[in-house]
Amino acid sequence: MSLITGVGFSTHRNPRQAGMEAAKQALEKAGIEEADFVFLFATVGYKQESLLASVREATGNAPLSGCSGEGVIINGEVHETNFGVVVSVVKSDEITFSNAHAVGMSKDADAMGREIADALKHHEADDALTLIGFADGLTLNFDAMLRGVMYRCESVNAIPFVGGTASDDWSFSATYQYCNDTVFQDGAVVTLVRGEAEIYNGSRHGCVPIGDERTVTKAEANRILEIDNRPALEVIDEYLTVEEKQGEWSTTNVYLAIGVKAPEYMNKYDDYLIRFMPMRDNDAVYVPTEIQPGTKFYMTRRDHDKIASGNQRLAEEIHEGLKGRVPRFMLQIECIGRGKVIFEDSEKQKLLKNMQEAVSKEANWFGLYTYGEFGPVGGVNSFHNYSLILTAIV
Amino acid sequence: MEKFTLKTNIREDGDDVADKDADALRNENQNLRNQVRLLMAAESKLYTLQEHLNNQQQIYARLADIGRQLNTLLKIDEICKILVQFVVYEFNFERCAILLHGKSGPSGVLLVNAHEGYYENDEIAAIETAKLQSDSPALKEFGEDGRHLCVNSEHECAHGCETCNIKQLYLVDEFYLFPLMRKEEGIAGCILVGNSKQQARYQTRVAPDGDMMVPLTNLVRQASITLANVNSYNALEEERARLDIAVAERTQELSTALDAANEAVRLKGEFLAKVSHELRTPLNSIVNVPKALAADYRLIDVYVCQNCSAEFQSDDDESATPCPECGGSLSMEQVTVCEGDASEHLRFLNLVQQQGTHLLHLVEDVLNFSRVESGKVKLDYQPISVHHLLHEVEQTILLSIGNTARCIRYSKPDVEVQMFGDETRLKQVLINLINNAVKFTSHGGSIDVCASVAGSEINPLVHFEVADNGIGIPSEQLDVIFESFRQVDGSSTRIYGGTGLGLSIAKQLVELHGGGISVKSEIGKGSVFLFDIPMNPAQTFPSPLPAPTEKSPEGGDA
Repeated sequence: MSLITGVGFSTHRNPRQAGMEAAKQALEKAGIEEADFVFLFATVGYKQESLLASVREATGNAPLSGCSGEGVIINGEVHETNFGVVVSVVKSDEITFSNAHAVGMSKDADAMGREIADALKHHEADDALTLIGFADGLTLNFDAMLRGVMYRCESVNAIPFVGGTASDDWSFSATYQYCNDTVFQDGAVVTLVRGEAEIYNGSRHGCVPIGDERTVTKAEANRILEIDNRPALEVIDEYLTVEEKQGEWSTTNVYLAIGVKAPEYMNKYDDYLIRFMPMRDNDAVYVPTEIQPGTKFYMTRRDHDKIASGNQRLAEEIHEGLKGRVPRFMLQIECIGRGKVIFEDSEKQKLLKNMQEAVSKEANWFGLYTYGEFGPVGGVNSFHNYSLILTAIV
Repeated sequence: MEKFTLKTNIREDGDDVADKDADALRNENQNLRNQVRLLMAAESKLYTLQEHLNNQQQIYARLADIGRQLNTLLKIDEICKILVQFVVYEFNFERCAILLHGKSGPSGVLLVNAHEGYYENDEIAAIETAKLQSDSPALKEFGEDGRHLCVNSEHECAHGCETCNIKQLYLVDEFYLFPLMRKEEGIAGCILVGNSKQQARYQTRVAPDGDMMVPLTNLVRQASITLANVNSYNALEEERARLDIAVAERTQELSTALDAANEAVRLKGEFLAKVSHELRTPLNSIVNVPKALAADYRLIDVYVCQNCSAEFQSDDDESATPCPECGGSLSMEQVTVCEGDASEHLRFLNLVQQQGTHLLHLVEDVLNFSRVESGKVKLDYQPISVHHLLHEVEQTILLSIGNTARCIRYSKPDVEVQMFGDETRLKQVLINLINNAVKFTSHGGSIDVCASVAGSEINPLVHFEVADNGIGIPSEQLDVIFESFRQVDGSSTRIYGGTGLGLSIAKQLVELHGGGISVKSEIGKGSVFLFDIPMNPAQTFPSPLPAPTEKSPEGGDA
């Protein structure tokens, strides 16, 4: 199997120069002049259209998927700043990448997913390896989107679905998604990877439950209105100080997440599935997936040691699966809650380096920090928060 | 980590005890929840503080780095570029521009010397043409203590239009403006740091007490010192370069003067050698010829009769012998007799005369030159008839040279021409030129001496030419032939003799008259010496006249 990848990076402030620099670096490292497919992750300080145009120009207008992130990841380095861009280029004779996008997540995520499915036609691909999706981190309804994307497949779990949600700089004001020449919001871009290859992925979160078990007593899709028959916001306030109650939600919600009991098939994963609360309004808090009344959960918080040990275990699992082979494609989707908000810079870099070396020292690694992550667990395509998703193709 | 679960309040036997346990557990849980809440709050604050500390630490480390880097730079443009990049990349402001007095622009105007954060073509075009007046009211905010101007997004414009003007000029909606490179007479530059509204949320915000104020102020202070030092260094370098050039020029001048002096010494030495030889030659004749003549004369004893004055020559003593003629007594006298050839003697005497005349000319040349060189020659301006002048010259040449075996022809103007000048000196010029022509024209050759009117009605000139068909002058000698002590052949085996002063004297005398002299020549074909003299010395001419290149028609310009 021939699959060549190269990763480039830039922190130049000028969007045109940043895009050009990262793209050319990627092509140079791959040793190619033109790419078959391009992945682009960038932070939101850039004028997104200018950045995308320069990457497209440098990569010969190859098909492109990507999104904005709070930070970007490459080999041995993490950059959580407002000005960082990572480009990954792919060239292969045996593996193909194709993409499609649609908007309208907040209006009807299912319909949006179907539009993508109709364009991508992945249901017709006998050799589909995986779908890689990037969606709006503020308006995401994962379950509905997944239903729509998989509506022509035999099940929502027919093809592994990995990826993450676009993010911004913790302001929760605007995230961006990229498909070819287009920058858009409130949508999703999905890439179909097909061909003869092996794919390995895994996920870990690092949260531990705190306090009493709670029950969702009233909910509408992904809005939680009541917990234990009390207004949801009132219950959540029990976990906050006076200053936090009065302060910005974007600061508060870093430290709290909902931990829903994981189904049995996720035994090897963890006891809980974590759900971040990116937004609130006057009556409810939002979670990225639909939640049913009666769902039991705990409030959770991130645990330093659990994150570190989880990273290492996941890396070792993938390494074991690779059996000494070097992955040709290595994607890391990391929740922003696992970055600089919990780790000092040197510690963060060290964790990353240890993990990367545990998987493979030679792999071309790229990734970003997201508001939410997608990855199958136990064969079931799932949404995660405060998690790490690794995907390797060999 | 264990989960904390409240025990439910299930009433069983011993309910009183169980109730108390349940209450205790509830209270314990509440306390734990409070602790968790405080823990999370502390964690949040700790994170914020830690991030702040890390940022500050990084900033100050980078400040130290850039300080070291700035100290190694000597170009203003390089320093400014590094500064603006540092402010944008390290302090995380969107835009930074350094404004300095432009070298080519009008004074009193600050132009953008370096900028960062302007990436679109229209932004770049705007920033590179932005001008801020040095007397802008905004700059008056800069106090003696280097106070800066801070305009954040909440700022209500207290300066009227000026703050808005700065915002528009430099495409920012919030900014700091720091003085840079203060001079005694006012602000020589400043640094602008700021953000646009669209990008502000991604950048460090402008605030009077912002986190970046102290490091930014430190950076600006350091930049001011660096730029002032570089200016001083550059000024010193310019002065040094200027002095180097001046020294080199002066050295070159001295070297040229030394060469000229050495050349003059050499020429004078050569001249002395020539003159010595020239003087010795006729002197030899003047000294030796009389000696040879004297050899033909001897004293003899002659006996003279006291009575009849008859003379008798005898080798014996005849003083006692009577006169054979009259018998008178004889007395002895000594008489000088010439035993040589009279025609030979005449030839010798002519030779002495010629050599003496030649010697006289040589001495006159030297004396004339000395007088002209020392500025002691005063022209005696009198009306001169050109016809008469040429006639006098012709006569003098005939008397001094005699039959030269060359044909000398004199052409006078068709009509009588009157001019003003020193006739003696002009005659001297023409005689020098004719003597030279004779010297360098072989027997049978011809020499033409012409005089004509030239110039214009306003500036009439008398144009003289002395043309020969002699040996000619090499082209490389034409430029130097009028220089003192120069002869066409400077070698010691020169054939033609002379002091080499004649042409130099001629040139100086012509130029004293306000005229100009030149020469045209071709080897083997002869030479033409030309000079023009203004007819009327009252006319204003540049002194001397440009050297004539050809004879100008009467009444017209050359």
